[in-house]
Amino acid sequence: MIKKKISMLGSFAVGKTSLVQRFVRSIFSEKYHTTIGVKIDQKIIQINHEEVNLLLWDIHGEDEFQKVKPAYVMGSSGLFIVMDGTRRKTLDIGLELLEMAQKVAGDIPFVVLMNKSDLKESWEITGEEIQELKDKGMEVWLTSAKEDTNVEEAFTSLAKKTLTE
Amino acid sequence: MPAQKPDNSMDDLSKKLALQGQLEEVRKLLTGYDRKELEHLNKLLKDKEAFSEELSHLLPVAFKKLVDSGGVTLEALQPMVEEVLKESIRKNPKTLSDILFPVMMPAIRKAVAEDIKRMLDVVNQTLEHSFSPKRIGWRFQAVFSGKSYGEIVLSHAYVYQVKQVFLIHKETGLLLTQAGNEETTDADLVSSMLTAIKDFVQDSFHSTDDSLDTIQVGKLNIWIEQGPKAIIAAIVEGNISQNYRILLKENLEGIHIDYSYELDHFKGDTARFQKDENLLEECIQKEKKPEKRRKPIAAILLILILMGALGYWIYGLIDQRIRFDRFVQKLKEVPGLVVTHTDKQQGHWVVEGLRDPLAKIPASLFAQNKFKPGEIRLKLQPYISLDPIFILKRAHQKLNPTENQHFSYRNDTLFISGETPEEWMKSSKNKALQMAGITQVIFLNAPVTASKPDLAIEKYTFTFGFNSDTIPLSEQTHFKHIVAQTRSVLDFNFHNDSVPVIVVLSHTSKEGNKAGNKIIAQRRADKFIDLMVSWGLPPEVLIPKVTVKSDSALTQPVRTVSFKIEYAKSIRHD
Repeated sequence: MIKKKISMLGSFAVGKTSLVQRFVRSIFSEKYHTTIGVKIDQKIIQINHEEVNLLLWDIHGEDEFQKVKPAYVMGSSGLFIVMDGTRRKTLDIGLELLEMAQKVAGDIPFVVLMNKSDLKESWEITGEEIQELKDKGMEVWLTSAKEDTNVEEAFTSLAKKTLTE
Repeated sequence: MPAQKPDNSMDDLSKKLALQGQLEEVRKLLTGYDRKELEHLNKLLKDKEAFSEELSHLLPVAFKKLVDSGGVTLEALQPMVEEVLKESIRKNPKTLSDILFPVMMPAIRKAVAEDIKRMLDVVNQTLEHSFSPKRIGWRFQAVFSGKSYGEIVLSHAYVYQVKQVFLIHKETGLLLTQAGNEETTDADLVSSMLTAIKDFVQDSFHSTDDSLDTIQVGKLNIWIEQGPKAIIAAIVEGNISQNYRILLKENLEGIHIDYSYELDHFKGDTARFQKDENLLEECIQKEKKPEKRRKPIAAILLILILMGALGYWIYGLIDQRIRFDRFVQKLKEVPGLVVTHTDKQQGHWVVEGLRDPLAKIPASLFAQNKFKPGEIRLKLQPYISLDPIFILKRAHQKLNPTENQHFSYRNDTLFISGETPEEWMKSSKNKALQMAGITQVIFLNAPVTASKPDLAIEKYTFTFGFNSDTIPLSEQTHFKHIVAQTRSVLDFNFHNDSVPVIVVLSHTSKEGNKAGNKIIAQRRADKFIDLMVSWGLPPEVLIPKVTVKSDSALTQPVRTVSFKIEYAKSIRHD
């Protein structure tokens, strides 16, 4: 069986843990628990008739008090850069984290998850900004862990990328 | 034109120069901007130093491309590299030692530090418990079991079980393979989490020497051994020797050597590692604590009690048997009693036999042998004992003699001495002859004055030892004189109606055990008579007589036999 380490990166409270929970356990909780350190989950999925065991490293969100430890990202086969559409600042932090991760883990595949699509009316990140990311060659998914929008698709997409690249 | 001939050579030269200049111009026009490059290349080729430097930048890249394309394999290069290294070391070992110094010294330091740490751990463990009650107990155990103290300590200290061993890819934290009896479904998560913890520790404490060696989780210890590309994590329960870490190190080193390429190019496919079932098998170790065999104290006590009871019972039986045998033996010694059969019936001892009505069983016989009277049943049939004592007793009962009359018995003959009136003699004779065991009655009437030869025999006295009926050897020397004198007495018959008889007097005291004294005195007299008969003297003239008197009344010392000549009027039963 192929195993892949996938790191979830993003600012605090963007929904990394919720996305993992939705993907792994198909559950969602309104309660917010900040992640301390790192939580690891796994899910085995089928890609082209081949089983892939995704080890999902749900790394604590970065803020001004807590920086992501580069060691956690080392050895990752793929990255999720998670942003909160309702908070503009999470885009910048996400891009900074992407830069850091690429320095540590090299040029590995990644997918940007623009989360909380269920709250689109409150979004601060504009469509143009999203388009800008796409124009830079980034794969961007508008997701909602709450409403289970594009979660499965995004994870499957990244998994495929890790196998091909 | 001909006038100009002398200047031809000059012209030619000028032309050549002009042509060369033109050619140079053409060359410049043709090579253009590349000309400088060509000049540089030309110069580079000629300057070996510069050319080598230029090549040094290209060679590594070219070599890598060659290896990547498969044009040359590492295996093919290996002998060459080894030869080069050997030659280099041979020529100048210092160079290599200088190169290796920065690498080797930290490695050596780390190895030494590891060994010292391990030694200190052992010493600490030993010291911690050296004087504890447990350790003192172990010392006693060593003394009693005959084992060395070290063996006892080890048997208690190193009881462990390595439950699982994980081989983890260091960079990704992915589980490469695992071994152990307990398959963990979340082994991948465990591996990743261990890596995360390791990363956290290293990052948080800025540690560079892979310092996270052990994690304790409740009763479990996770031993972590890190290599450059892989990590071994062993889940250990119990106390394991520090030597186990060496085993982990050796295994990890082996894996790094055997799987160097796979570890370098790991892309998440663990099949290659999982194929090798023996990869981590050596790391799975366990030492079972010997089951405490509880001593069956209750059972031992019960057996001891039962054995004690059995022993006591057997002892009781033996003791009772011994006492009974002693009782029977004593009973057999009682005059007038004959024991014919003994048995045990329904828990009671039974003695069967015969008893003369005159025989008396001493009452103390039961108590002396610790029997209650009811414990032994005596089934004794009456009979008439022909023991001389009982014959005499019966004679006394039937004939009712006076104080001056004396009865003695020998060889079916009742001897009656003393004053015997004629009438009494007649009636007594008839009564006596009706009694069992008496076929003849001899009355010894008043003595006749004896002649000299008679007196000679009477002066002899034989002394016996205490409680003995054996004639002393020293006394036997006189015996032939006695026999000779007795014959002369018997030949000297001066009364036709009377016969001389030799009364063998056995003297004893009535002090102490009167009955016993009497019996032994009788035996002494009988022995003497038997001896005299064996010398050819007629038994009918030899009469035993026991004199029992108080010590002060005795005319002769006690335990002596003397002789007296009497003349008897014989009355025979026909």
